[in-house]
Amino acid sequence: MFASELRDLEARLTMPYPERAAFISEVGDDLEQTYRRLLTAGSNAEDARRQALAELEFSNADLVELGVVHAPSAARAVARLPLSARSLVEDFGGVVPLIVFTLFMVEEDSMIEFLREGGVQSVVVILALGGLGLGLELQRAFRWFVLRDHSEPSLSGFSTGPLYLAGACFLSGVLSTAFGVRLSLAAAAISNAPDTAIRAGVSESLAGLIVATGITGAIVLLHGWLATWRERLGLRGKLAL
Amino acid sequence: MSELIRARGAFLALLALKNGAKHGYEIAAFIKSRSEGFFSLSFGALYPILHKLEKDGLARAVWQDVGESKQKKVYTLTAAGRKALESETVQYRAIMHAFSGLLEATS
Repeated sequence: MFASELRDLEARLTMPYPERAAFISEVGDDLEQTYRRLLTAGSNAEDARRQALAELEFSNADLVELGVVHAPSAARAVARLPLSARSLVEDFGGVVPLIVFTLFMVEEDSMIEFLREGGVQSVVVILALGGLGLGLELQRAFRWFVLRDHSEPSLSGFSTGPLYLAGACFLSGVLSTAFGVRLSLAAAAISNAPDTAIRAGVSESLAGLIVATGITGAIVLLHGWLATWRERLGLRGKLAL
Repeated sequence: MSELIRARGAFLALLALKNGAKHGYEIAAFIKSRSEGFFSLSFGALYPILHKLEKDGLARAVWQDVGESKQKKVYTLTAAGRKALESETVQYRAIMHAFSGLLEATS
């Protein structure tokens, strides 16, 4: 009976889900109770409906108050930062784990050697494409699950861009490996290299594919998880490309 | 909402829950009827208060089944809520006593 008004109210709320859905349920129940009371008291259906809505009207101040009560602790902490720092955290906070992981990895000599085997230029392209895709998804996850920003712009701006970057990353890995294998085999044919040298050359060429597959898999899994979560909220926003 | 109004509203909500579980509508109706209309909390003002009480651990909310696939949210006082209510009641009684003394002295 009050579905449309409840949808309008939901759009005005700044609380995160699932608290937002629970609150709408609570208000819906109280609306029906009020409506039934007014009917019992002798009002006609139209008047009872109008009066019930008037009794459960929310001012912007009321909704701000509710938003404050339900603000996640991370969002409250970020709100206390100076404006420039706040923008930095909101826009890039999600990629901090990725940066920390990268810094940790560059300290590992075996990892650097492994990447160098795949060809420095190819690996840079793979890491750049994959890193960008993964960074975008991590930032989305940070916004939704740490800051718990479930506003309409945040939820509807869910793009498939990271999947295209994942595709480009994987393709780069395949091409880099294919090229490396070809070079190894060609060099081996010219120089009559032993089998062990050929195997070493082919094996080193796989580094690009391994890295690309790992990063692509992470992006696809993370994107799938975010998409499933968003679907469960019942949102059908357009995917921005 | 000013701190004073918020604090008074919280006390009224705690009082309403003292004698048993109630949902939002019942709490608002209780406050209005028992104060003979002197105190009247709109639902818009009441919900943030109830949610804050729940967040602060002074009230607990449970969803009760009331029919086929229907549930309603009901609030009860926690032990901490009862303690807070006792403490606030002492404060308000002291304020009432002080005002009463002043009014008598100046009448």
